Amino acid sequence: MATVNDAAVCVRRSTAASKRPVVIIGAGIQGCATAFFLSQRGQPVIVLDKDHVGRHASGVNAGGVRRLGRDINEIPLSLVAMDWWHQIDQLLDIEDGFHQQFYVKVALDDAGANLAGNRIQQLEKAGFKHEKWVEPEQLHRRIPHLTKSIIGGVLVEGDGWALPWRITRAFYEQAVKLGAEFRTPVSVQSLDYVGDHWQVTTNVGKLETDNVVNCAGAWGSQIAKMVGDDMPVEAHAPMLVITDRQPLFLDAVIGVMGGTLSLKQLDNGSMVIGGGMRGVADPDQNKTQLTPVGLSKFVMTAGRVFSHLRDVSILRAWAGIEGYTADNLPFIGRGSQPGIIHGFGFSAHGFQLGPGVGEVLSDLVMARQPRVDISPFAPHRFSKLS
Amino acid sequence: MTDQHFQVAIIGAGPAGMAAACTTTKAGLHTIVIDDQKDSGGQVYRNLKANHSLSPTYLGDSYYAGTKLSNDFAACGANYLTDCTVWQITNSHEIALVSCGKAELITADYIIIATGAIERAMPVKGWTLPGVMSVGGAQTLLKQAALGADEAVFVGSGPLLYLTVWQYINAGLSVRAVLDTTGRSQWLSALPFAPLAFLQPDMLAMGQKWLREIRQKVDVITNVEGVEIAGRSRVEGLSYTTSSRERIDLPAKYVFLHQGVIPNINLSMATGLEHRWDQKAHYWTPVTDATGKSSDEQIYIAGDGNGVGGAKAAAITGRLSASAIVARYGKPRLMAQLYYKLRHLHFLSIRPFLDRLYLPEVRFRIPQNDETIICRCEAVTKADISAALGSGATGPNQLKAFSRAGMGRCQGRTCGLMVQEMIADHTGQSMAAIGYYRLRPPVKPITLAALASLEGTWPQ
Amino acid sequence: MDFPRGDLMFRPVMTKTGKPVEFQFEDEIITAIDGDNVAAALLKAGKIQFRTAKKHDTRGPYCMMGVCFECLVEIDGRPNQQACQAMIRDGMQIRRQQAPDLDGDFEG
Ligand SMILES: Cc1cc2nc3c(=O)[nH]c(=O)nc-3n(C[C@H](O)[C@H](O)[C@H](O)COP(=O)(O)OP(=O)(O)OC[C@H]3O[C@@H](n4cnc5c(N)ncnc54)[C@H](O)[C@@H]3O)c2cc1C
Ligand SMILES: Cc1cc2nc3c(=O)[nH]c(=O)nc-3n(C[C@H](O)[C@H](O)[C@H](O)COP(=O)(O)OP(=O)(O)OC[C@H]3O[C@@H](n4cnc5c(N)ncnc54)[C@H](O)[C@@H]3O)c2cc1C
Ligand code: FES
Repeated sequence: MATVNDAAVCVRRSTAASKRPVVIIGAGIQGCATAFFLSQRGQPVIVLDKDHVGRHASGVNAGGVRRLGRDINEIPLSLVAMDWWHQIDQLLDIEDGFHQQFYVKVALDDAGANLAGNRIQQLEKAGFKHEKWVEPEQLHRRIPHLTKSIIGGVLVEGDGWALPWRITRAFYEQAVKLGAEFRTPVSVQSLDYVGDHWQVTTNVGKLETDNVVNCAGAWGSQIAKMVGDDMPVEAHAPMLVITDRQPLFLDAVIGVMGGTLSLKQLDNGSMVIGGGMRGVADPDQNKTQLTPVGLSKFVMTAGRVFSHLRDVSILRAWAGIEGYTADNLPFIGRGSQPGIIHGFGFSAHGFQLGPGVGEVLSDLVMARQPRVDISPFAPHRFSKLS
Repeated sequence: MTDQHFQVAIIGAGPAGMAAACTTTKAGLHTIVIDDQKDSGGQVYRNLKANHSLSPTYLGDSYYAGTKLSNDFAACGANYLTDCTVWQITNSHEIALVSCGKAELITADYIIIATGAIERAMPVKGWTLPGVMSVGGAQTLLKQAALGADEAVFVGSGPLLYLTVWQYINAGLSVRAVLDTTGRSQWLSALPFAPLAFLQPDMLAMGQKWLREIRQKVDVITNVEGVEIAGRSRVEGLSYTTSSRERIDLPAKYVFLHQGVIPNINLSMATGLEHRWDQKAHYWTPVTDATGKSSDEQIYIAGDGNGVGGAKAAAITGRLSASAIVARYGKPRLMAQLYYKLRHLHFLSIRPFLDRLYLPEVRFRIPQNDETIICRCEAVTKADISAALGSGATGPNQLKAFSRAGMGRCQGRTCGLMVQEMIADHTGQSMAAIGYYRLRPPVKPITLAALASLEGTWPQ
Repeated sequence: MDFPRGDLMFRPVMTKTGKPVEFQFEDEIITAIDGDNVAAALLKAGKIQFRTAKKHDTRGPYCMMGVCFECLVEIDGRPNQQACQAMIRDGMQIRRQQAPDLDGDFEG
């Protein structure tokens, strides 16, 4: 947790920081967005990735940009990120980067409706009003193909989706334009504090820096261990399928209350269907395995929501490697040693957070106070000492 | 299906799969064979049973040579699923099937992947026009539906091209011309291996016979270059350059292209097995030991899917893998294995010669023209790929995201090697270093309802 | 251009016996023989344009073995059917498959 002492260390450090480039480990969305914000603020950065930009979770996720259903502790960060999403085209010099629609988790039965009711109450108590209950008639009007048996849903206006590969690339490209340097494939092997700075050993040589930002996703714990921080994540491989192109029928992202589903239709008519079912992750080999039964589970849920999709075919299926923490909240904050900043373990919902995380991590590097409270994401919240 | 577990599961009922099943069932192993076609035989003996009763002679003796194997297979007692596609093999050796819109999982102690070969792409200008087919496609129509097109032009090189032309003229079809693209350099590099090829005198003799008979009826033009197919919404003609640098225009309604066959590695790659780049043959093959055992101890690869060797070699490798599996049940088959291995080497003796002679030159492996389509599914042209390379894509998977090449239904079966070779050209890296598309299940598209059927019935 | 044999199309090279079946392609009724696959039945009727991949980009069967997906048609209202793998049946309604647009989508 950021203490007064830490801040003092960082103020001293930040003068040094501007001399040597900050080293960011990982060129996923978090690493790229952090590089972007730091470059925008004039801070030189070098981003290292053992594979290539967007190779892992950030390039292959479901692209859901949602505030809906987030842990209460995560909502402020999600809202900050959403501010950026609303101006993503200007920010990254792209067109139609964010497909703003609405996101609804439908209730298929009473249990789902109860969950929904509790959720809305809980949010209201905490002062958040973005999630709203919708009656079935209204949902049917807005989503004509929705199965008749739904009994309502929780909805957030203005949530939507984006193409993950494209957004991650755009952060990378803009960061490069602003002077950031990306080196791939370069794998970080150890981090050593020598005298007053960090030595970063990679498979192709060494680098010196004052600040290391750990955006290594599912591999974040390994990097943390190199600097003496015990921050466990488990690697899992959530799965997705993409279908062939269908006539456009859906301009919303659909989930299920108490179930595993996320379903959207892209502009070209393809549908992306996912929702938490996990394959087998092998982060050491960069490999994932799909499990047929797991795939069939969320595809069946899709059928319970849209039965007219029965003959649509799946063209491809894949899984991405993601790091999950014990409470499904990310690690964002300073490490136990000076100059180390962590941002990983996004537990399968970090894409939307990306721009917000980039802002917060670059605040931490520049010793600025982030706009949001990051204490729920404290790096050492699970270690026995704290 | 009542049984869910088998000792041996064989995927593919071509010569390799059929022969393997004969061997495992004879040793008493509980065997299942799964094939996505209506009938056994694979590519080479396609529709053999149905044709047999009518015995059209135009298909030739090499086709009917499969009769005994087909009959043995039909009688061997293996469980046999037709019309059934394997779309995934998991690490725990679950085999995911789909048939008639219903998915199912079975398991097996040992798996033999015998999914055969597919044709190498021949991306010339206009090759996507209706009326252009692969030579294998034309031959399949002849075997399966007894259909042929008069006055077609055959373009390319390789034994299958000449066999099909021979079958065509024997069936009474007129062939407009054969344009052979085999270059002089290919002859030169193949010639040193000709003596080895004489270990297979009957094969060579058969080739000679086809050629002789073809030349009596058809114009065979050799050393052809610069093939371009013209037409607006179907083939109208084609043009080419002769060895004397003359540009010739030929009206045509059907053009059949061929540049040899390559292993069909989609299932073995999606299963996560190790593969290697075979620079001489210019394709990917699974890494296996002499018995076809892959990087997964439980999975064997037999037939053309483990390196193209032809129908006879395919059957032998099927037996070889099968007897290796039988041996693992404590029934050693050393003499049999040795015998099959020697037979296999014998059949392969002609390959170094053929592989060099018929490996298309690079101008027939990647398009010469910017507008020529490389990825047929997503209509991605050579120029699109060049653009993606220019904007920083360094590998096949990145290139996929940049250009959409390989993202369509065929999952890169057609464009994979072309894309890889263009990257090699651009970056100066070796084909082996660049690697292939990251392939994943489902190996073929599957409907949502079919996939969900593992869980239950699709909601109404 | 001159074609020596009039309107060339795929033709039978031997007389195949079998039950005749009638199917509809676009607005035309066509007769085929039971046991043929859809692609063969269409080719025999002189139909070689099966689908469009995009504007002015027409396609027809290429490999005939289920690999290339160029033969996609709509069969009885179901799109994306591989004509070379599907068997023709009496009363089948077959339509050409029109191009969807080819925008970007997801990696993976
Ligand atoms: C299938 C799937 C669907 C998802 N759907 C959604 C969604 O709809 N909405 C949403 O908000 N989130 C979603 N997520 C989650 C989201 O994708 C991730 O939370 C987010 O992309 C994490 O970004 P990252 O930069 O932390 O990680 P990554 O993208 O994994 O990047 C980490 C990078 O670090 C590199 N690295 C690791 N170790 C080293 C080393 N030693 N040296 C150098 N480099 C190293 C890796 O190569 C990698 O590129 C989904 C995730 C998956 C897998
Ligand atoms: C179009 C074509 C025509 C050919 N014609 C000849 C010829 O006339 N003479 C000749 O000597 N050689 C021919 N060859 C070469 C020929 O492939 C072989 O030498 C021989 O057929 C190889 O036998 P195999 O058993 O390895 O595979 P194949 O005979 O190809 O058999 C493989 C079988 O597996 C099935 N299969 C593939 N994937 C799956 C899956 N995922 N699930 C279920 N089933 C699957 C296929 O449909 C096929 O039935 C041809 C090749 C091609 C591509
Ligand atoms: S013609 Fe190639 S898949 Fe049907």
